[in-house]
Amino acid sequence: MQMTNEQRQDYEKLTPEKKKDFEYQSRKHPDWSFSQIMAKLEFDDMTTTTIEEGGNNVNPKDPTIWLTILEGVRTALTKFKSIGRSIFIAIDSAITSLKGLIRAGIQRIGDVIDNLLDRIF
Amino acid sequence: MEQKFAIEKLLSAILGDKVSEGERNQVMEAINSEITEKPFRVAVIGQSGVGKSTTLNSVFGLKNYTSDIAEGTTDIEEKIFEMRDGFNLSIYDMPGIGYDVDKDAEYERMYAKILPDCDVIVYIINAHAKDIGEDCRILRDVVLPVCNTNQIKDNLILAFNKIDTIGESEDPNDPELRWNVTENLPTEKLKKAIKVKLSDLTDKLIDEKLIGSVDAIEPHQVVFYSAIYNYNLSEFLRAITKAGKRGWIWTATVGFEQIGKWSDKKLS
Repeated sequence: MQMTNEQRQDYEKLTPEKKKDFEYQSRKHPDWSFSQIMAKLEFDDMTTTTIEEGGNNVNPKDPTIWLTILEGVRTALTKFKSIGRSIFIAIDSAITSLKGLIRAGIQRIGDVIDNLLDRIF
Repeated sequence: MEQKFAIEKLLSAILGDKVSEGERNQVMEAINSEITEKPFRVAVIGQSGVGKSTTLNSVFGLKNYTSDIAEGTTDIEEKIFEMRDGFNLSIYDMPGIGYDVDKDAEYERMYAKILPDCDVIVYIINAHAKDIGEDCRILRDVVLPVCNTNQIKDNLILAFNKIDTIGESEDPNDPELRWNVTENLPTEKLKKAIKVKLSDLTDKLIDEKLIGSVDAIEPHQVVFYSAIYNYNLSEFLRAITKAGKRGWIWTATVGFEQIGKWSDKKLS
């Protein structure tokens, strides 16, 4: 498959196993574009999650959900002119912490935010 | 200032002593106004029998809600439900278009009138359906154009309900393909059948250019679940949270409060 430089970079980020899946899908669906195959790989991950974790309870301390919530809050607050810079700095700091936890593959929020959520839930 | 919702408590904790009390109060007022100034509007679209009522029962906590929208109706009323502390949920219960292509324009007008005001648009399809071609056509030709024109594509969730019945539709006589009601989980054989079916469904969505193409939706906007068995609702919650500009409001106010019901998974 012909790839642009940007697509090639995305392809190179895939694990060896995912690259095999990519090649498999590329052979199976020769009419699919790069982004369609990448979407299929993302779906395969989702399907696996559904099968393996679909029966789990909702995790109220899931950092990915709280990250999305805090990003939504931050965007909403930008509408209010009265909100000062110090507020955004504090929220940004919490967002950065959550992103760090997610990058580290932590499923449950730890340390400071964990304690905060313990008080809430 | 009284903190009614989890997000207010979290924000208060995050801000701590980093800001003055006055600044903290300003934030709380702003967030409270964002949450309560207008209802959280949800449009639920789907053919009769796809599980709109059970989805509204389990995902949105409307315990006794029963969908009573007749096929072909284009005059849709907003139904408002008081959730708590000034936070209201508004539902537009909308019928699926059906197979009458001549009515597409009429439905498009209805969608164009209602959907731009909605924070979340849930299009429900039967996961066990043998053919989702007509739903794909409606999404591609009617729903997505309205969403793209009004820049609300991110608000759309494509929800495949009833994954618990995938095995039964394959072989109704095989008990191994039925949902394990005691554990409230799919059997190992059913898991395999679900995996194959979901793979077929995703191939179809990609072939139909609903995913992975320009003006298409993102994979995280697709959810596979069972409303009746509360299965995979955490992914549904994640999709709602990510939806558009206001999806987070649902999760940060009453969405997580549904967990108690979802946690009670064992049916015995």
